[in-house]
Amino acid sequence: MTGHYLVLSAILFTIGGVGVLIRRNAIVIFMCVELMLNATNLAFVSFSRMHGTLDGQIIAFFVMVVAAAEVVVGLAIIMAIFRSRKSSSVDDANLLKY
Amino acid sequence: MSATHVLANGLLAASHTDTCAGKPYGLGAFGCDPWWLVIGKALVIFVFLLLTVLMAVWAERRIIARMQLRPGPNRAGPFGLLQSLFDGMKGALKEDVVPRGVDKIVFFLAPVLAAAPALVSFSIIPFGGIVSIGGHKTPLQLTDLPVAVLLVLAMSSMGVYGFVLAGWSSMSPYSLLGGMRSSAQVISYEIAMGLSFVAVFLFAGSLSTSEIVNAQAHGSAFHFLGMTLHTPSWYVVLLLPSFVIYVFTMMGESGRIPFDLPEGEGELVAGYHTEYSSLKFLMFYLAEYINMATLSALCTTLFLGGYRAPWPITGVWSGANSGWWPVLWFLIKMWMFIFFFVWVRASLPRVRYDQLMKLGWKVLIPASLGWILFVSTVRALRNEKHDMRPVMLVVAALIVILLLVSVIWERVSGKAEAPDGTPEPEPDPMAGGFPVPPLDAPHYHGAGTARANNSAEATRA
Amino acid sequence: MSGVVAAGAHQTGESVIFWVLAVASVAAALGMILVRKVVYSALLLAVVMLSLAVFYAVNEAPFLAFVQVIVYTGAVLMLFLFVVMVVGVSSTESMVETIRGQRVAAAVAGIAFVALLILGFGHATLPATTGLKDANAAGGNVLGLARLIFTKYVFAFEVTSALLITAALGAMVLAHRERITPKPTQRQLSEARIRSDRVSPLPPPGTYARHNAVDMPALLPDGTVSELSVSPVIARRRGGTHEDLHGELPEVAAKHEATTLRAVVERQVEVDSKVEEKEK
Repeated sequence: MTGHYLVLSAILFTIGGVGVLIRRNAIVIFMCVELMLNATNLAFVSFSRMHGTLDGQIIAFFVMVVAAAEVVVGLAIIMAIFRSRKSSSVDDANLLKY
Repeated sequence: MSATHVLANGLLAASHTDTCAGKPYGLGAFGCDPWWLVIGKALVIFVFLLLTVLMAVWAERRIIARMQLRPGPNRAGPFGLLQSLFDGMKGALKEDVVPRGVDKIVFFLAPVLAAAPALVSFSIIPFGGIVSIGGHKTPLQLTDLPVAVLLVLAMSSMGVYGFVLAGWSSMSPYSLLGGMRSSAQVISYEIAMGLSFVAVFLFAGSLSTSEIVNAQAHGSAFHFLGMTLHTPSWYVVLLLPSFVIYVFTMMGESGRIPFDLPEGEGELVAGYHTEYSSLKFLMFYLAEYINMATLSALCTTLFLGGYRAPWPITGVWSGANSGWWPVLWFLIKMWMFIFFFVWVRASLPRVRYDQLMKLGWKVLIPASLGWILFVSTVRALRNEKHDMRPVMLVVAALIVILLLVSVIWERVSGKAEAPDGTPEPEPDPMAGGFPVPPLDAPHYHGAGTARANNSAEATRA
Repeated sequence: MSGVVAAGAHQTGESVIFWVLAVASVAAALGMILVRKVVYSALLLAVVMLSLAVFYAVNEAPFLAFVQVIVYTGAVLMLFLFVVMVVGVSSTESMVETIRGQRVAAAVAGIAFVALLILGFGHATLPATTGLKDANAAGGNVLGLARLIFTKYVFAFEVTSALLITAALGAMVLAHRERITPKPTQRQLSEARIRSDRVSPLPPPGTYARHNAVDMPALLPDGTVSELSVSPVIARRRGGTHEDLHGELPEVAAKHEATTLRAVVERQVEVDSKVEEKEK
């Protein structure tokens, strides 16, 4: 079954990546990043079972913690940008471009 | 082997060969009931929850009425007992109004999302020990997991989806505000609630509810002046701060009166369920009361020794903890908490939202973190076989002093902030066409009087 | 022998779960990146996360399964929903491409990437699944994880705690709004209220035979509309008109209601006077 899980994880990861590329709303892009992290977690957990050690689960656990920290900061940034730009589209945060 | 068995084995983290093998207590006793017994238990829990809701609604109305010197519902059935049943039937048969402009799919989904997880949590609550049903020795509990208490936390966080989505899908400002308040409140209070469990886990050495109940069976014996005394075994005594924090967070999680801001009728009409009617409204109602019962049952399990009889009874009557008697003790303890909920509702006014958040983030979370640090230190020292009593006394005294000082300091510093007369003119945050941070905020250069001149110069330049 | 049979049956049970949830989660993930409403995206992501939680449970990781539900579905996604509601309830993004052909290119790149990964997995030789029975033997999954975290990975654990504190501080700094004026005290507020034109609370919205919504203005004694009776927030959200009015302005509707009411009252007065005359 490990192969099945790995393929599923790869598909979910790619969908997340494509989402990051095609969407412009910062919140949705962020959700796609979360999807990618989740997909890698699935791979870690199934590897953990394949090898019969718990290390994979530990790594997945750390990924979750890091994801939580990342979401907190990221959403705060989105809020801060929204306050000044009145928009959550990534195309509107372009002041440094010029 | 069916899919459910695979899932159960994965969750119990055991292959099906080791379950049911001779272990009468603990997790080994689960996962070996015949199918009819499992379905029967699930049905009994479902019916029990519905009855609890009916009884709780009736009891709440009667108790509050008594506290307010009026009779309360007393017409339908003896003592008005059938009132809530009739109310429920009438409510379900009312016209189902769906406002124009709501998001249809989510509007229908939200009540289900609120009610379904509430029903699931009760599956891990132990009602009693091992009994014999139809020749099978089985625990009075639907199932248990090595991470059972986390299931309750998970289900309560799933239940919030119902409230938040109801608020969003109604497309009405009051509903939206109610949903937002609900999400922020539950996230904040769930952290403190999870932290209040940690001390229990540390003492019980397990996250499974049946093992936590068993761990509260007997306190460790110690010798004092030639007598053998037993330390108290219920965690409400051993871990009193955890219990107090849990009771606060329980109030916050249930969204009932001192903390019922998501549906505060004085401010938000009815909060997230403003636009709901008929059966869909009843589902929110059901979810609220089932959540109340679940939180009470969890508190009983974690802090009040679960289904075990209280000590004066066990001292007199040795059979109090065997057979079907534990169900009685469990129900008594659970209803004590439900009464507490009602009592609080009748006595306290609603807090302000900033007060709620301040209590959650600035009091409950730091307090429980400090308490966990203390408990784990004590556990570690005891594992190393140190004499704990002087250390504990000194540390407890220190903590109390620290808390007192911080409370007094908060009071004093809050009062010291005197109002400083007329407010300064507000600087223009969009000066020059772009939003700029306020360069003359008070803490940059004290509360100078030249502030207005500075900002005027800045805009001119 | 029976062990082998049981293992085979275990395999089928797991395949059923896998194929049902794999299809569901991929469909939900695709939906998430394709739907326009942000809240729908969040809900579909919740579906993916819950299916992953079930996969963890099947993969003998009960602790992670519940942590997944509590942390991801319960906290992280709830935070997303919260921000969506703060940032804009009906925020649907425009689907106009800013770079021509970007979407097609992204899709092609995605498919190519998946193909590459799957080809790679196909050529790798995966060892037979050992299972976590031995690893979970001493004290179960939770104890096993704890033992590893506090021995082998204790440094990583400490670093994560530092990261969490930093993140909390960072969020506070970012979301903090500088207070540029001193906060008015309760005394100042009450003084300002007494000195203002209106000491009493604001008038409630109008209640009519056909309209009792909060955005219907009340009528003053002289028949004009009271603008104070509708919260400016609600008036702005609705764009000034009530949906029931089908394009009429609330003032017009209120006047219409008032005339209807007046007509009814006048007719009643007329009837009453006739009755009185007859009685005489």
